[in-house]
Amino acid sequence: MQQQTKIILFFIILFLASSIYLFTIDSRYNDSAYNKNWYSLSFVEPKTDSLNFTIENFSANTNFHWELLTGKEKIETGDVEVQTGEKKEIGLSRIMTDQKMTVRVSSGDDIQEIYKN
Amino acid sequence: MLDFIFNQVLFYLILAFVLFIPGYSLLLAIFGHSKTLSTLEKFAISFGLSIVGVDFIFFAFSKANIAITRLSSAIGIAAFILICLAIFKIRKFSNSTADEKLFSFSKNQFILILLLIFLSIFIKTAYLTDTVFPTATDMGHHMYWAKWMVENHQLPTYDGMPDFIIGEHIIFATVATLSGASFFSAFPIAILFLVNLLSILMVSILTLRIFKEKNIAILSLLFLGVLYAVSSPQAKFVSGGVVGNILGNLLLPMSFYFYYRAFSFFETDEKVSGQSKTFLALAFFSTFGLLYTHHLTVFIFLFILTLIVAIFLVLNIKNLKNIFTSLFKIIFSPQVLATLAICLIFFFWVFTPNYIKGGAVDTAVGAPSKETRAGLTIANLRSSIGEARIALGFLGLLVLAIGFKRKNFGYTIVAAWAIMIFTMSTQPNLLLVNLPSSRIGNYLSYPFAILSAYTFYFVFKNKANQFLKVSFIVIATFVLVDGISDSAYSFKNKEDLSPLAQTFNASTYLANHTTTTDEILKDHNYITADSWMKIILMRGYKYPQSRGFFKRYDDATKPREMCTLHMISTPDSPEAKLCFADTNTNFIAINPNFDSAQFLKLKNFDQVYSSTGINIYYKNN
Repeated sequence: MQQQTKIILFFIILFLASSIYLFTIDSRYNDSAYNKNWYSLSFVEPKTDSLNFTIENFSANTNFHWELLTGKEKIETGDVEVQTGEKKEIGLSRIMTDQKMTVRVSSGDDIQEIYKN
Repeated sequence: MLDFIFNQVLFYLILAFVLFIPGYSLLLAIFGHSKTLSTLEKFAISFGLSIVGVDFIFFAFSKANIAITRLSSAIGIAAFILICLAIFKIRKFSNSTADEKLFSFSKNQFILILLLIFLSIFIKTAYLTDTVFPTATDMGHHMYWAKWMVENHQLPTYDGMPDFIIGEHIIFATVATLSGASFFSAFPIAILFLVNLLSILMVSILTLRIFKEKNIAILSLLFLGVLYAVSSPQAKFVSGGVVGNILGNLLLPMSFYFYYRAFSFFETDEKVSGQSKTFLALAFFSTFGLLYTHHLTVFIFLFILTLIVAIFLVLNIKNLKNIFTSLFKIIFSPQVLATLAICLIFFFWVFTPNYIKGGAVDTAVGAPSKETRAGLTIANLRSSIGEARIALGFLGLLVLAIGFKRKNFGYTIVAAWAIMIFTMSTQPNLLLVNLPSSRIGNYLSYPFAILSAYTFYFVFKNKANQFLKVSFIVIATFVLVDGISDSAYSFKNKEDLSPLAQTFNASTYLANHTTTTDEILKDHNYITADSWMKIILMRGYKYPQSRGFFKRYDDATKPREMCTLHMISTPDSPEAKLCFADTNTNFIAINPNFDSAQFLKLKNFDQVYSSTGINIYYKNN
C-alpha cells in the first residue's frame, strides 16, 4: 500500500474512533447516571388557576413529600414515589381564595416551591 | 445499541457523501487520474471543494425555488457527482509529470507523521470529551439557523442580520437533513473537528509545496496540530462552535494553495501551462467559497492578497512585463473566465451573501470604535498564539527575509500572511480596520506555525556552530513545554451537567406550555446553555428575548434597548412596567440563585416551574 494511502487511512481511523467516542458521551447530560442531583416541579397549567403539578425526577432519591399551602397555612399533604428519569402528575382540586397558593415539595434536603397568586 | 451503530454508520456515509465525494469527483473531472496532485492533496482538498460545491448546489436550489428536502438534497448532490464523473469519463487527460518524490517520506518521517497525527487527534479528543455537550453560545446561534433550514426546507434570510453567512450553516443542515442526526448530539462538533484537522493537514501540504522540504512540513504539523492543540483557534473553537473561523481556516490555506500552484511557474521561469490556469480557476472557486462562508476571513484574506501582490510586484519589479504578460494569459483563459463568470453570476444574481446587503463592510472599515478594536499588545498576542510560537514566528520571518526567494510566490504568501495579520491585529488604525483585534489575532497562529517550522529547520539543517545548536535545543525544549502545557491548562475539570439538563428541561416545559402569542424572556448571564433554548422553541432567532451581558447595557458606543434588563432586574420598576406593556412579555426564565428575590414579593407573577438552576415565572395580569 502506498505511504500516503496509509497516512490517510490512519487519519480516517483515528478520526472515526474519536468521533464515535464523542457520540457515545454526548448525551450524558440526559443520562440519570451522570445527573443524580436534581428534580423539577411545575404546574401542569401555568396560565389557569389549576393547581395540578408535575414532579420530574433526575435524582437518585425517589421519595417526595408535597404540601399545599394557602398563605402560610398547610391545607393538604401527600407522599409520592417518582422513579429516576420519570415524571408524575399530582392532581389537586381548585380552591377559591385570594391568597397565595403554594406547592412545596421536599426530597431529602432539597425543597422546591411553585406558587400562584 | 443496534440503533446507535446504524445511526453512526449512516452518519459517516452521509459525511462522506456530503463532505468528500463531491470534491473528489470534481478533482477527477478536472485532473483525471493524473498525478498533478498527490493522494494526500486530493484527500485534503476534496473536503474543501465539497464544502464549496455543496453550497453552490443549494444556491441553485434557492434560485429555482426547489424545496430543500432529504430527497432533493440527495438528488442535487448525486447529480453534481454524476456530472463530474461523466466529465471524467468523457474527457481525455494528458499524462502529467508529477513530483512524486515530494510526497515520498523516509521511514522515520512516515512514523513521525503518524505520531503527530495521533497526538493531535488524541489531545483534541481529550479536551472535547468534557466540552462536547451543547452548551456553547455561538454553536447554539449557528445550529438554530441550520435547524431552521432543515424545518423550513429553504435557505435562511437571517432576518436581515449581517452576522450570519449561509456557508456556515449549509453543511450542518444538509448532514442533518440526510442523516436525521439531532442538533443536540455530537454531530456539529464532529464536523468541526474534522474540518479543523483537515485545515492542519492543508497547511502542512501548503508548506511542503512552498518550501519543498518534508521536514518543514512535518514540523508545521507539530506547531499547528500538536502544540497549542487546544487553545483558540483550535479545539476551543471546535467546542465553542466558532463555525466561520474553523471553516475559514480550511478554505483560506486551500485558496492560498491554489494561488501558489497557479503562479509557481514564476519560480522556474517556465511558460504558463494549462495547469496554472486550472489552478487559478480553482483558486477563484475557493475564494468565492470563502466569500460565502465567513466575512471576517474574507476581509483578512483580501488584505493579505493585497500585500501578496504588492510584495511580489515590488520584489520582481525588473520582471514586471513578463509577470503581466503571464497573468494576462492565465486570467484570459477559458477555464478561469468561465469559473469567474459562474461565480460572479452566483454571487450577484443567484445568491448574494447578506453581509454584502447588510452593510457589514462599512462597519468593518474605519477608525477603531472600541477599546477591544484598538489593537493587541505583544503580551496579548503571546497569550493568544503562544509565547514560544510568536518568538519563533518572528525569528522565522527574519530568516525568511534573509533567504527570501523572490520568484517563489509561496514565500510571498507566507510572509504577507504573517505580516498582514500581525499588522491588522496590533495596528488596526494603520489599515482602518474596525474589528475586534483578538478575533483577527487568532488567525496569526497559522502563518506563525509555518514560520516556526521554517526557523526550526533552518537552524538544524545548517552546520551551525555547536553553541547555536545547544541554545536552540534549549529553546526547543521551552517550545515543547510551553505548547503542551498550554493545552494542559485548558482542560476543564469534569463539569456538572445538571445545569445543562435543567435548561433543556425548562425549555421543553416552555415549548409545551406556551404558544407563539406568548413572549418569553430569559437570562443569558446565569443560565447555562441559554442560547440553545431557541433551538427547542424554534419560534425565531430572537425568540425568546434575552437579558444580555450586563456590560453591554453600559456600552456607550452601542446604545441598546434596556427592557430586557429592566424586566428581569427590576420587574416592579416603572420602566419595567412600560416594557411589559410594550413587549407583552409574560414568561420569564431566570436562575433562582441570582434573580428570584425580586419576583417573590410581586403579586402579578406566579412561579410556575422550579428546579435548582431555573425558575420560570408567569405574569398573571
